[in-house]
Amino acid sequence: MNTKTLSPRGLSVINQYIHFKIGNAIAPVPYFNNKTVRARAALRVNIGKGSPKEIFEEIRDIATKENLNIDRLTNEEISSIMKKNHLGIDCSGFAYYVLNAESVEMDKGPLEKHLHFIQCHGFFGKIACAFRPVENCGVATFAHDHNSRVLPLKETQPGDIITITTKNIDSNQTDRNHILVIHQVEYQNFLPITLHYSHAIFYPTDGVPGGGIKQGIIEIVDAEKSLVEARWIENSLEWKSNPLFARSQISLTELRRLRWF
Amino acid sequence: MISILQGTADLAYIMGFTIVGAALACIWAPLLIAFLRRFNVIKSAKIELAGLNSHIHKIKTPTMGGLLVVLTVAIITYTLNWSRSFTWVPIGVMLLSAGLGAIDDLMNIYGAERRSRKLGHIINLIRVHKDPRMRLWYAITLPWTMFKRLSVWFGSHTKRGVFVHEKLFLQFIAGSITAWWIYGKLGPAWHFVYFPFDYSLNAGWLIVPIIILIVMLTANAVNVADGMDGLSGGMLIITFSALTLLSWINGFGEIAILNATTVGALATYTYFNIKPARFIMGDLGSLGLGALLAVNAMAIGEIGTLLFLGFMFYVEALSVIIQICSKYMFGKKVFRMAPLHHHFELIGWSEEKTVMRFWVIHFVFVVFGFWLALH
Repeated sequence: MNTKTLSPRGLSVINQYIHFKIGNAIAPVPYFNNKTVRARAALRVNIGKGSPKEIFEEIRDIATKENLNIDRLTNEEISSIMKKNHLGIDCSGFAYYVLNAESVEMDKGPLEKHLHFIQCHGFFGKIACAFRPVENCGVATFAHDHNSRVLPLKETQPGDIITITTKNIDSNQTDRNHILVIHQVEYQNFLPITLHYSHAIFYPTDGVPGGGIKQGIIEIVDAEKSLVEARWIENSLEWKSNPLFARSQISLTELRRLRWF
Repeated sequence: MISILQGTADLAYIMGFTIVGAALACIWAPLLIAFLRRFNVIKSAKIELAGLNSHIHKIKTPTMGGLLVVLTVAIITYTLNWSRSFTWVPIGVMLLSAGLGAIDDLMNIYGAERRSRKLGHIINLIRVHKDPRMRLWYAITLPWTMFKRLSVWFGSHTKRGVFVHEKLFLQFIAGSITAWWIYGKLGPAWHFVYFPFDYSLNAGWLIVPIIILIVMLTANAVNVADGMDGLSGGMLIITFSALTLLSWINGFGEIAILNATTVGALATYTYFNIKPARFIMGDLGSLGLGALLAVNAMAIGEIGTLLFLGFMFYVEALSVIIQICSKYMFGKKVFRMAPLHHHFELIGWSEEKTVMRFWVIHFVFVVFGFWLALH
């Protein structure tokens, strides 16, 4: 059995979100999606699209303004600051930064250089996307055929993405699109047997502020079958008790690879 | 550029007004401080960086201290230096802007929170309000509502005090009065924009929007720079001192006296405004003196060098513009906080260090502007 992972740069981005460190305190970056507050033209960091560095800088500024010593903040204080100031990350923002790190590592330059922004139309739309690439890059952008292609399960590699989109399901479905990044793959006889994924998500059981970067595994029973027939395990929950798996069952779930990867 | 050197006796006379201004302000400054404290004229809700140790005392510092300068200058000018040709419009514009600032200060302190309806809400009300007169009213005032919402869109989320769109409107009026005076009353020589080294540009009627823009920009720039103890006071002293000398050199005696009086009153104001401040300028002082600065500089034909004469004020205003543009366009900040003086404070400079360095930088650029004006 052999294992492949993302580059150290990509893994470092994931680690920075999970073990977000300020001074001696460590707190995970929570999930935050701007659709809950619908802020317009706001700072990237306040709409769930901030990189770890930007989140750090925002917390540092907030701490300075509130006369708090940044080196002596507790885990709870950091969580409280993030909650109060809408600092967090959503699924596509997280995927963007991880994949961007991979793209840079592969000497292909920043992600925005390759992405086709499907939501940006017209002159002003293109300017908006050039200025704010992360904000205009949703799951639909990643899942678009211009940017990625669907893969058979047996070809999976680290850096591939799993998109869970609502485009072919009944109208009662209220879940948003979702994206997972595969950060590690275990192979046996050159066939993937276990996929390790990371994603930013909020489960109602997480409480407030909750969610953030979660990791789970997908055990492939048969590489010739589809992804939704595999065994998804997260937080020791599997099959139908795993909400992500349940969601993947009622959505269009695809394994994709960015076209320039 | 006109460069008639006046006699030193004239200069001594002009400088006498600095003494008079400082003395008169000194006499009633303690009364003003007591008055402001007595009526609790404190804008604690709008103190920036109130959490910082160095800013804690500001929460209880009275505002509207600019009244000391504005009233002193107005009284001395009215009694000793009143000239229909040269001083009544600068004083009028200053008082108008100061009045606007005073309303803002008072509404911030005593006023209730103001409602700001969204455009969609207003459009709905036009359709469904039960009172036809109200429907008509909302329809007539729709352009104004749109203007108001535009200011909100550009980042103004004021809940108290004068809203940004109202401020801009009143500043536009102040600018228009100045433009009418300069374009219509002072004569064709003022239709030119003079630049150093004998360059000039006949702007014609375009001088009107230029003047309006400069008055609005300068008033707001001084307003923005008024965020630390002694900062705007010290910089205004430097700028008005240069303007005094330039007005004297350019042969505008009345304006020179007006500037000298302002320097005197500002000296007293700054004495009481040095950290820990006994009062702060407030919008009343900053808007009024900003407008006066612009009007006086334009009245003596120094539009071309105004950028340097008010250098740090414009830099501060520019930092706010850059920050807002960057936030809206790129979703990230350029400065840790705008205006610029707060950025330096957040990176660890003490308030005193920031203020004094700003004074020094401002002084250097004002001297450069002065040098340019002499060429």
